[in-house]
Amino acid sequence: MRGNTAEQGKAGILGTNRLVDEKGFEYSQFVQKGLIGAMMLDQIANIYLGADKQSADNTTPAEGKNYTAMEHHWDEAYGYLTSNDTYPVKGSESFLGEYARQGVSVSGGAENLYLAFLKGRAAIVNNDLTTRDEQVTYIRAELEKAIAAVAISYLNKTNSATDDASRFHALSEGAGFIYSLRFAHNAKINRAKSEELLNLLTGKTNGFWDLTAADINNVRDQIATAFNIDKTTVVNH
Amino acid sequence: MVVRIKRLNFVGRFARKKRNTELMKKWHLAAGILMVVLTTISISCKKNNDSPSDNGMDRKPMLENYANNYIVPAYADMVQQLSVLKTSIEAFAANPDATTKAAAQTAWRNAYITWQKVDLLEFGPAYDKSLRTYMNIYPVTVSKVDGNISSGSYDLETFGSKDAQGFPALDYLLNGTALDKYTTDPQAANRKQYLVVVATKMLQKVTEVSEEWGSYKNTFISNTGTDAGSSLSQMVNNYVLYYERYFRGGKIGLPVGAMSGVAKVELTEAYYTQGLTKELAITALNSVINFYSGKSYDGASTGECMKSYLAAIGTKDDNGMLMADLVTQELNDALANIQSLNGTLQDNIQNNRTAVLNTYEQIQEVVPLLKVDMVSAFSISITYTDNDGD
Repeated sequence: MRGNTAEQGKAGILGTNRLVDEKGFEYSQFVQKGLIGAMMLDQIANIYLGADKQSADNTTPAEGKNYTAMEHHWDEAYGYLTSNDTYPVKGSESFLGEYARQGVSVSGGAENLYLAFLKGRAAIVNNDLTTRDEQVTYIRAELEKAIAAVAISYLNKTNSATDDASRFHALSEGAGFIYSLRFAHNAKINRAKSEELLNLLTGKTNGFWDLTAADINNVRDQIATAFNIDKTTVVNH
Repeated sequence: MVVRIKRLNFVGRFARKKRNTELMKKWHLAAGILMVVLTTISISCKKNNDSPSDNGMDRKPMLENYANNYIVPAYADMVQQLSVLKTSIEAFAANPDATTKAAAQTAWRNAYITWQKVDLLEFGPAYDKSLRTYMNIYPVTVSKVDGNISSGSYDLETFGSKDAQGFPALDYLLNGTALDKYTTDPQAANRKQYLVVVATKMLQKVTEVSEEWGSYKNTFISNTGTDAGSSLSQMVNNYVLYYERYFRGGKIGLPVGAMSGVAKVELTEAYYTQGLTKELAITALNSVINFYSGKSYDGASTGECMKSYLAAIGTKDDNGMLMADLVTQELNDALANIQSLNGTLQDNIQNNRTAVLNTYEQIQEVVPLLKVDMVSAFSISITYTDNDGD
């Protein structure tokens, strides 16, 4: 059964399958893209590459295993990015790994992100914690920047969108990624800033229907400046 | 007018598609060999040729030709046409009678035809301003226009207002609304005001874009690379997007129901002026052809262009025909096909739908040539996507 077509002030379907509320907001996109930060980025950047997990034992292999606790934590972090042995070869991932592949193209590139994971893992085996920490810093910055680039890209896609369905879809995805930014380690767009930006996108009476190109460019430019990314960035995703 | 019979049957279409795929493989191979050869040449020439041009081809003259001879004059003409439109609408609003209305209708018609020569330029300043969304989002949502008129409270800048302004809204207000709505109707004053506000917004946006091209022109001409931000990439991407989505889809495909299977006349451009719809489509396709072929905006001269650049690269199809010429041939076939439709486009969609679907197929023939073959020959990438991959 199909629902009603959505319009300003009325929830429903836009295009063929975009379910939006009366403000044009597509919750499923916001939740999915928000979880990329709230779950995956957080687990990688703050938990498994965090000081606590990375202080784990690195001398004795876990019982019956061929890795130490610290090595295991490192591998967990990688597992939150992708299930592929070799990234950025495309595998089954469709969350952070999928978007980061495109997003890091604005900075170090997906290959180097992969190499940083390898290098860090090798450093742990060698008990070279200085090199490991360099890789932690690199990975955290790259993933954060990747999410920022994808957010900017989605905001730019509202410009080339040819109908309300794709425009609001892009906006909802963009909003999800902006929400995600707060979960980066020492986030450049922290919780307060991320809320402020989201309010600029969603705070008007009719939500997305009341937005203007200038409103969107304002949010986009603030992210671009914070990360020193080209504001016209559009990546494939 | 020659209409290709083979397009009428599905076997022909599939055979054609298959050929395209095989051709693509061959071109890729040929391109690979060409690259090796060119790399060898460029290595051996490196000492005495350090200019930004690569593969021996200089894109700057092409960008110069487009900017100086098409884009800048096109926006100047559009500003001029919209100034006339705004003046005639103001005259109609000040003194609404049959004469002033007819004058406003004529000015609208002339400006709408001119827009068909400008719409394909949605890159650079026009892209930044989303110019098209203020000019030609159709079908107009009549309830929104009426709601704006009766409430007197609206902001034409918001996304929610895109389908309540521009040429389609003026079409409804000038060609789909009787004169007494501007004289004795209780909403007459608000309606007249809305007309003026819409026309003013259109002129304002085009004027901004036109002025920005004054300074952007040098940036455009000097950005000669092939990366995603280069002038060539932005221009070609938006040209192909225009052809595929706004020309093929908007003007023909959606109303005839090429994808949905359901014809919807109410989706046609200039719905309230049905005699004009086909002319708009023909003008648009002529502009697509002229732009590709490097014609100046006034048609008086020809310069370096996508066609000459593609010819210089030299990719050919199976029969040894230059891709550059094949694109022209297929575009001309599409043009002949639209011109062969007798009567209004709306009438054809309702009573002669198969012919319009065949026209759509011929228009479609060009899409892979532009989007796959030309784009890869230019070493650029398509940066827009039809559907978001989520």
